[in-house]
Amino acid sequence: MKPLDAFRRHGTLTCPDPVDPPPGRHSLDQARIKAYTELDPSLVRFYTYTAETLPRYMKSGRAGEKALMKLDPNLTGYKQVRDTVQIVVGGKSVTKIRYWGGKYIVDGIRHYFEAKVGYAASAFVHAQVTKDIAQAAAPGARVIEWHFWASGLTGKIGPSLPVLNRLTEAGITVVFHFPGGALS
Amino acid sequence: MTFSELSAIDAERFRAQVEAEGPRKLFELAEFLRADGVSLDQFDASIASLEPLWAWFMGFARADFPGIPADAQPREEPILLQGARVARASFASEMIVHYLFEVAKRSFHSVAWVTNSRFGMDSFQQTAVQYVEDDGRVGQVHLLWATGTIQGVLQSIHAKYADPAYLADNFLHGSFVCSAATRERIESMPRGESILIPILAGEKPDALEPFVISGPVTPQPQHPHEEADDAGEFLFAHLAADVENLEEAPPLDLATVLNTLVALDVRDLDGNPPTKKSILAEEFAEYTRGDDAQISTLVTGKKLRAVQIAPINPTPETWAEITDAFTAITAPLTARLAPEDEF
Repeated sequence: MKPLDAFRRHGTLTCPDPVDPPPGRHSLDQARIKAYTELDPSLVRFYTYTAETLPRYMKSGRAGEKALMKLDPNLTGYKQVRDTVQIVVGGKSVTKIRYWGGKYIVDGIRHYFEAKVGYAASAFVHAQVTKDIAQAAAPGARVIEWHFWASGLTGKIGPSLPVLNRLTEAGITVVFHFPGGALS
Repeated sequence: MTFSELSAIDAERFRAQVEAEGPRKLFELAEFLRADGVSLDQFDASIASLEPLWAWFMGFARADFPGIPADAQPREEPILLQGARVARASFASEMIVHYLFEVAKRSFHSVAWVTNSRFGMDSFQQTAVQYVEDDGRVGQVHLLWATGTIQGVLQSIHAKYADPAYLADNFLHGSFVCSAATRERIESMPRGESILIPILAGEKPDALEPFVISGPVTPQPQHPHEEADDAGEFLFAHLAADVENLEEAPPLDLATVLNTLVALDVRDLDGNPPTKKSILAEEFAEYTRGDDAQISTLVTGKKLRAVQIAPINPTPETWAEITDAFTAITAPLTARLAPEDEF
């Protein structure tokens, strides 16, 4: 069985077998969660998990990347891979480096993965999104996915609404991996 | 694979093929224009000529590139494996790219196809148009950037792209970076003779063979070492910083941060160490420390607001070295180093 078969794609945020969030650190913005659920289903995926495969809070960004490796058999390593991307800043084309948590090509389609642990909202995240928007418009068929995992330190998960809007408007798929109990 | 994985020999072979196929691409362009009843007189490689070119090309695209073979393959296909979905569009865009090259030759100085391997630590191995501005500055436009932009336009036909002036505007204000004075000079250049009529009067150049990767590819960095499992993106900012509004965070002392960056021996994309000027020059300046980490600075209002430290493939030791260096300056700068959602 492929690892992905262990998960059921689901349109709701229920978790069948909740576990406790980090004590005292659980901090989910319900308005944000509601906005997540109202997004175009073609751009957003929520996974619910069986008890055996229930995701955990992640202790670091690297842990999120490792979790991605378990989800997608085509991802054979969790090392960062680099690309260059041209973006326009103030009318000037500028070369930037983009490091991806995972990348592969299958059937001529390029797949790029970004794993984020915790809340993602800063100007640096926006700069990363800018690169991905340019990447999405680059030649060739592409699938770009941002996967969000909950932080084991803060209990937080997901992008800010401005980040989310920019991702979805660019056609970038957003995937939420809510740990059990995070939405109770 | 990507261009950066090409061997230097293959990268040069690719560049040479792009350069060599220019006459045929221009011949094909002239053929298509003539077949569609477009006057060739106006195609003098001037900025103004880009308007009728773009107007024709948008119609050509909307008609699904009549005359472009179903099995047409763009030159970069063996490298990028883009697939059939974009192959014909990409193939067609090569004609436009070569005409843009002619416009660049007329507009700038010392225009040439080059292999872009100018970055000290990295070689992108991409074919680019190199040009020299009036003031002597050297610029480069990646071939893929040009074809990619055209493909992007074709994939999302939008009102602004349908504007016949789009290509000329993009040339002067997007791809070929130049000063306002140079733009003014280029725009005021007198019209000239068609470059396509004499090309079409000659013999059609033979098609080149498809590009074949001979290998071996550029060796990729090996990572025999242990990974730093606790690595994650860290933010270095003032204690009072609001992560959602870092642009207005209390400023950090630039000299102190710069000293730390220099001590860590970080380099920019060109292989240069950071300077006060380079940090302040961009809202986001990016540096890497080998294969360990990417370090980005955020500047607004000429003030350094925050630094992001993102792991690439560090060892536990190198990751600790980097984070320790920033931790050491948290107290004097009233700052903290933590994942951004802990701010």
